[in-house]
Amino acid sequence: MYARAVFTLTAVESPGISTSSSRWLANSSSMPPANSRASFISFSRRKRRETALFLGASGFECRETQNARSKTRSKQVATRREHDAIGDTQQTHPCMQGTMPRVAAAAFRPAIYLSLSRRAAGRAVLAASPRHEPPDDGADIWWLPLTYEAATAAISATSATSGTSTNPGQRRQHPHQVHRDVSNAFLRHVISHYTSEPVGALQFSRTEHGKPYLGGGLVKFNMSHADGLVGGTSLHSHSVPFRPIPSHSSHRDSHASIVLLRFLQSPSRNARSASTSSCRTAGCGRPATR
Amino acid sequence: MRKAGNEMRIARRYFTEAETAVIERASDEEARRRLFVRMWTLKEAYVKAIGRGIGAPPGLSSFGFDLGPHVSDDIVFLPGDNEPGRHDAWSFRLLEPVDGSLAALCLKRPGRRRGEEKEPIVASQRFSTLDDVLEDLVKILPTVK
Repeated sequence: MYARAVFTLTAVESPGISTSSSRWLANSSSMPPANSRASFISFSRRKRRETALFLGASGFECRETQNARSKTRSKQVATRREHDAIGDTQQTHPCMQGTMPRVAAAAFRPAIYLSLSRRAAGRAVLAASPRHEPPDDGADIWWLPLTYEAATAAISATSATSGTSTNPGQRRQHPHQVHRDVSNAFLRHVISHYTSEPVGALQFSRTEHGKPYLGGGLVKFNMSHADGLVGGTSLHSHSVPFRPIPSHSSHRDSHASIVLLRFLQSPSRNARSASTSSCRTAGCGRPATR
Repeated sequence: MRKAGNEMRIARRYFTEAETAVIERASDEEARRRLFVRMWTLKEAYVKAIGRGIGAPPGLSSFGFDLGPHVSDDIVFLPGDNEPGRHDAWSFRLLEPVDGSLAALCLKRPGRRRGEEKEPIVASQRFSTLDDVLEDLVKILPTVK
């Protein structure tokens, strides 16, 4: 009971660390349901009741459990709660099989003396529920091994076959530009996978700093280029990598960025480019520097 | 052509005092360089995510990173009082996609505040080949030129 009270307030105060706590909770025998993503339990000292609210994938349900222990036992526990070390995870309710994270218990020490009414608990969950989006969001990273030479060869071959620009008088493209052109194709290749649109139909815009973005903002992406490798990242949610973020998701508020540095083969160049790289590569997705 | 101490000059110019001290304490030149590269990529990833340039105020020394000796160690983000993103929940991760390349990943988690970013970034990686991209390159070549 004691540790549950800690958990309750942990969940309210800091949804970000509720994953381990809810996993711990799922292990506890008296605590269904296994598919709940985040949980909230309140402990009302006066009524000797525990109220558990489970936030599942389809919303949340309220479950109220009568305290299994007798009044005397509850009193003992309450007394011990006042005196025992807060971080001690050993004095747990018999139904608890997991281990309460010590850090969480210690960090929220003052909060344990709060006792919430069931209604307050419900309100707290409602307030906190947007944050309890499934925590298993993550980043998709896509890589394309691409040297300047390979990019140049690819552009030449493609130009020849498509008959676009083999004007002999045309100025030779700078290797960086060619590398960016192929990277651009790679970006469209990846983004069209998310949006199911043809690569040619994707409309990119740039921020005032030169950072490209896709209209609508449903696919947030970021790229980085180095000789030999191009990398990009985008966010996914609901544990489904390489799928677009649902439009109603709070992930629309998120940002992802990736920076790639090649450091093994030419350290001097990287060290030097470190101070100037943003200017040099401003056109390819990095924010411009002044 | 590489000059010894190049990293230290850049570090002193751009990094926080604590970061510079960590690099200086490294055991040898190679360790210093690796620490420098890790810090640099992380810093660049952060300013990139927040949408400001490296040279834009308040610069790169308004926030710092506390790094362990290994790439897989925890990355502790230490924003200063003047850092606009100090209240947000940022998560960082370092990857070595191929030998000799270092990638820093930076995420701003939605709806969370600083201190709530305990979960590590779950990253799914996919490698493409140039062949995968060539078909699309043909389609967009007239527009990218």
